[in-house]
This record gives sequence, C-alpha cells and structure tokens, in this order.
Amino acid sequence: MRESVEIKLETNGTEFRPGDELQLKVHLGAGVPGSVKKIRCSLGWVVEGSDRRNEFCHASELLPLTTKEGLAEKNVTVTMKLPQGPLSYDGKLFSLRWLVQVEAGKLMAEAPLVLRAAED
Amino acid sequence: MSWFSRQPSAKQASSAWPVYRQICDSRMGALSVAWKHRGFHLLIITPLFIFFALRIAHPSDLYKSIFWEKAECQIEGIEVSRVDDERSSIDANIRVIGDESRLRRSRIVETVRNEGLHIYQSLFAPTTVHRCHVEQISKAVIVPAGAEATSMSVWLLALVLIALGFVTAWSRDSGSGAVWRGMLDNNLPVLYPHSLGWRYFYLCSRLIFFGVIFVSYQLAPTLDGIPTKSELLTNWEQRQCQVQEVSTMDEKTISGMVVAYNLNGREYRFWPNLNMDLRKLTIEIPKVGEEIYCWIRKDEPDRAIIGPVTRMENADLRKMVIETLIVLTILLSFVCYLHARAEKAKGPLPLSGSFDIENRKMRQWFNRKRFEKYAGNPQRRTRLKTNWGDLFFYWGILCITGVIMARFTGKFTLPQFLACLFVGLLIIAIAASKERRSLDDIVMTGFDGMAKDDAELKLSPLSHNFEVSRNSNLSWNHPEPPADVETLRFVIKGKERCIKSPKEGFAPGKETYHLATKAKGGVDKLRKLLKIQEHEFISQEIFCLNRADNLGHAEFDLSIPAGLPHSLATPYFSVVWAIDVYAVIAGEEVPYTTFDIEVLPPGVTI
Repeated sequence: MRESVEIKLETNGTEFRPGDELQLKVHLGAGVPGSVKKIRCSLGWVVEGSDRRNEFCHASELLPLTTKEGLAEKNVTVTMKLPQGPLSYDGKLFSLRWLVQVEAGKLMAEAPLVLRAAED
Repeated sequence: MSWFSRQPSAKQASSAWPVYRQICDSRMGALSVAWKHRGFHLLIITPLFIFFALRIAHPSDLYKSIFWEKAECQIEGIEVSRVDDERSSIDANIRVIGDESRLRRSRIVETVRNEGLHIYQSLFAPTTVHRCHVEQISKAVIVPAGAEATSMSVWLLALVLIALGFVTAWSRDSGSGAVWRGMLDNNLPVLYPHSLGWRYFYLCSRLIFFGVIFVSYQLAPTLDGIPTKSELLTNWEQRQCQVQEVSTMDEKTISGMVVAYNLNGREYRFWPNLNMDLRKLTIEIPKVGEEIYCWIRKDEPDRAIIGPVTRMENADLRKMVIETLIVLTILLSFVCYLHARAEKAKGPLPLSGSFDIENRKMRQWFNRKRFEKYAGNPQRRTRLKTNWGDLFFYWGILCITGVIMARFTGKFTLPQFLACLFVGLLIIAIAASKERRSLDDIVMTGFDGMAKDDAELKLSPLSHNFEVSRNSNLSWNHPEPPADVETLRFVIKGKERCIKSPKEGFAPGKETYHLATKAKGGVDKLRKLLKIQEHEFISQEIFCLNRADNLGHAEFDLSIPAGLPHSLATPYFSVVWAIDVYAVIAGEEVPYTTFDIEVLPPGVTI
C-alpha cells in the first residue's frame, strides 16, 4: 500500500516541445486522508539562482474527484498543454526548470520536465 | 508554500505566450518594490512624524506613558515654598497618601506648560483627588484634572497623522512611482521628471509647510484656554473674584497673579493664564484685594479665567482664521490631487520614436504627438507634467497636518519649535534623499545621453524582436553621422543577469537598465545599488561600417544561432539581449549607442 501521491509522465522521457500536450497519471495512495477536499495539479516553472528561487504557475486544475468517491488507491489521468515559453534554461547564474506538481492536503508530488525549442 | 497557492486567472490559463509575457512583466517587481516604499513611509516616516508631533504636543505625556508608572493617589497636603513662573516650576512639599516617604521634598516640574494654572490650583485645593504619576526614583509630576481629555486630543492627532501617512504614501502615485510605472507600462523610455530643480521645489514645499506650521503656532497660543465668545456666553458665567496676589515685571507689566472666588461655600483660587499677549501688554495692574470680574465654567467650577470680552472676540477671530485656513488647505490639496491624477493619466512621454513595435503603434503615435506639442523640449514638459501637482498635493496635506497640529497642541516656545523644525527637516530630508537617491541621478543622466543619440538614430524595421534561428533584416539609418567617426561596429551581446536587490522601476531586461548604464559611471552605481551580477554568454560582431562605406545607411542580416537562450525577464533573473554600436574615433573605440532587442523562442511571434 502506497501512502502518498505520485506522478508518472505518460511519455518517453521528460523532454517536451512548446505546444505539446503533457499527459500524466496521478496516483493517490491509500494514505491520502479523507479530509482532503481538493487535489490540485499545477504546471509551472521555477527560476533559481544561488540564493533565490522564484516560482511561477502557468496552469492549474482541480482533479475530478469528490470525497464521496473516496481518494484511496485511485489513478487520475491529467492532460495539460505546454506553453510556448519560457524554455528550460540552465545558465551560469540561474536556471529555469519546468515542474508539474500535485498537491493533496499536506501531501505533494513533483515531476520535472524539460521544455526545449523544436529546432534544438 | 508551493506555487500551487498562486493560481493563474482564467485569462492567464487560456493562453500560453501572453501568460508568459504577463508573468515576466517587470511590473511584478516594480509593484512589490512600490510597496516597500509605502512601507517605508508607513513604518518609518509616519511613526517618526507622530513621535515628533507628540513631542511638540505634550512632551511629558509621551514620556510619562513610557517611562512613568501610573498610579491613583490622593494629595493630602502641599506646602508651596517657591513658585517660579518663568521656569514654570514649583518647589513644594507634597504629602501623598500611601507614598509619603518617597515624595517628601519633591520638586514639581511643570512639564505640561498649558496646565500650569491647574497645577497651581490643585496645590491650593489639596483635598481634590488627583491622578499622579510616580516615577520610580524620586520625581513626581502631578497631572491636573482634565489631562486625560488632553491625551485624547493627542491620540486623535496621532490618528490623523497616521491617516495622513497613508495619504502621503499613496500620493507617490502622482509622483515618481507613477512615472516609473508609466515607463514600464509603455515599455519605452520616458522623460523622468525629477530634475534638480524639481528637487529644490520639493524641498521648498517642505520649507513652506513648516513656515505654515510656524505661523499657525504663532497664532495658536492665544487660543489656548480661551473660549470663544459664543462658548463663553453659553457655558461660562461671570462672577466677582478677588485678587489675592500680584507679581509684576515692571511698573506697567503684569507677570502673574492669583485670583480667588467663592462658589457653593468653598473658596477656589486660580492662577490666570497670562499668556504672552496679555502679559506684555500694558494694562492697569490690579491691586491685591481688588474685586475683578472673572468667568467660571459652569460644569467645571474649578476652571476660571479673567479678562474682558474683547479677548474672546479676538479669539473668535483667530479661530476663524485658522479654521478658514484648514478648509482652504483641504480644498487646495484636493484640487492639486485631482491635477496630479489628471497629469498622471496622460501617461509618460517617450524621448523618441526610434523603437516601435506593431501592437504599440497607436500609443507611440499618441506620445509622439504630445512630444511634438511641446516642441521637443522635454524639460519644459517635465516641469509641467507632475511637479506642480505633486508639489501642491504634498504641500496641501502637510499644511493640513501643520494646522491641525497647531490647533490641537497649543502654545510652545520658539526654541522648542526651532528644535522640532530642525529634527523634522532632517527626517524629511533623509527620507526624500533615501527615496530617490542616485537611482534618479543615474536615470536622468542616462536619459540625457539617450536624448542626443536618439534624436539622430533610427533602427529599422520597426521592431526589436528577433527570433532564434531565423534571419532578420536590419537597416541602419543615421542621417548625420559625426564626421570624426571612422568606423562603426555592431556587436550583439547576450547576458544573464541576476538582481539581488531590485528597486522600483528597475527590472532586468528592460530598457531602463540599458538607459541607466549609458550614464557615465552609471553601471557601477547601478550595480552597487541593485547588487547586480552579470554573465555575458555571447558577444559577437555582426556588422562593421567603415568611412569608405556609407556610415549613414546600411542593411544587414542578423541570425541568432539555435541553442542560445531567449530573452527572459523575471523580477530577479533575466536574459537580456542588445546590439551595442561602437564608434572608432581617432583610432580609439568608444561606445556609441545601444539597442535593446528581444530574442523570442522559435515559432513565437508577438
């Protein structure tokens, strides 16, 4: 029995192009408490330097769940469209990373992904 | 907290690139810093101002509330040994029930000067229950009956000042803040109105404000404790009183007197508040034992005054003048506020139309028309734009503050006023200089530099957006290239930039930064202020024009290789691109001008 929230990208690899559709499967373990009313899946990017981190949310949606259905041991498929930018970047002073996050009460799961230009 | 908590709006979620544009917009940074400025006003300046005001209003009250222990006590008996009118002090033995040993042989320092009369009166009415403050060591101050009411007025004043603090903080919208935000909104260089002259105006406005306070205070003392004629006739009654003691400065000038009256079988004695106008006037000095008329307040039988009704009429007049002044300053400040808002609504003024992009053409055109209207004289427009509105608005609200303070606080001596004036000016000067320190200098200088260049330089096509991996055509137009320029080199540069301490209006990746860096020494200043770190990941010559070619016109292609980062602007991190033009003059290469460009990811168009 898994007691957490997990994200699994339903693609080969973690690299995406602008405009691609991102499909992911969210697994809700048995440990997700019944008091959780909302489970939110968000797509965003993080800019991180040596001593600062800024987070930006691009899109967010509530998973189609109700408490009546029960949360335990449930898989939910989520589809999100990736934007044109900003592209992932790994520089000397800072880096820009894309992330998809799922939040269920205090439980949280995170999956990194890379957004690259089509020509790269 | 994760960024889950920051949910995008429906508008943001519905589109991709605009979201990015919106998120990256440096206004995010600018707004947060704007709040820092407001916080500075609210947390530092306003409390200091309140402290300053309270210190003027009732010096002892503030300190008593902090340093003194408040206790109920009853004065059992007082023996006055010496009364010093000039120093407002009394030497007396006080016996206070429950604390006799500590307060024996105390010297009462009359710190609340306005209440001197009451203190003296209370000394001669020892059975009255008083509220007194007992310092832990050896001093005591007797606060007369009615002091609580005075405290209320002080707190009311504090509330007024807090409200004014908010207003002054917000009024930045009509000043520099608005200009900064206007600059960012337009994403174009705009004229910045803070010239040195403007600063002098700003300083003068404060000086005028304190001048008004000074005048108000000069008027206010005569109002203290003197009812208006209408109040006198309503709430006071006239009685026969007897002069018991009289002291004089010379044969014609009275310095103090004690008057007594009987009420309900009890004798009350009071020390008339002979404030400056009466004290220095030559009047007929009453003799001890002489019967004179005095006015006694109906609901406070221990409060009495002397003097002819004409004094009340004068008080009426002075009160009317001050109240009229309050109304006028409120109206003036409101009008000025509207003026400032109207000026703000007109938006910023660009220096030139060299840079333009498709979806901003209308605004650009509008701004250019305004520019032409002012005959290309930016300074003239600058002075008209925000300064007067801002100036008068500040002036107005500060006048209100001053007048209200004067109205509530009553008299105080000239040295005290001058000392407070000095402290106040110092605080305001520090605040003003902190707010606009060097950032303005840098930008002003930067703009001056740009004004000369941009008047002559054109870059076309009318776009500064480039797409990675795709060729863009650039044309260089320079109607009158300087004769001493031998060569022009065009260098494309890409930099990562990290700002550790962003200031209002400065967001990495915006033109403001490049403008600022044009100033002599501006880069160093800016780097120091914003704690900027930079890493140049590309610096490559893309074109070169020699004197043998046509320095005034050329066309060339620009292709940004794939794999390089595109432009990025967040409040703290950015990737910026620019085409720097260097001129070789007399064999020496010098920076000539800079064009910010925006490099978009492949396939993205605005």
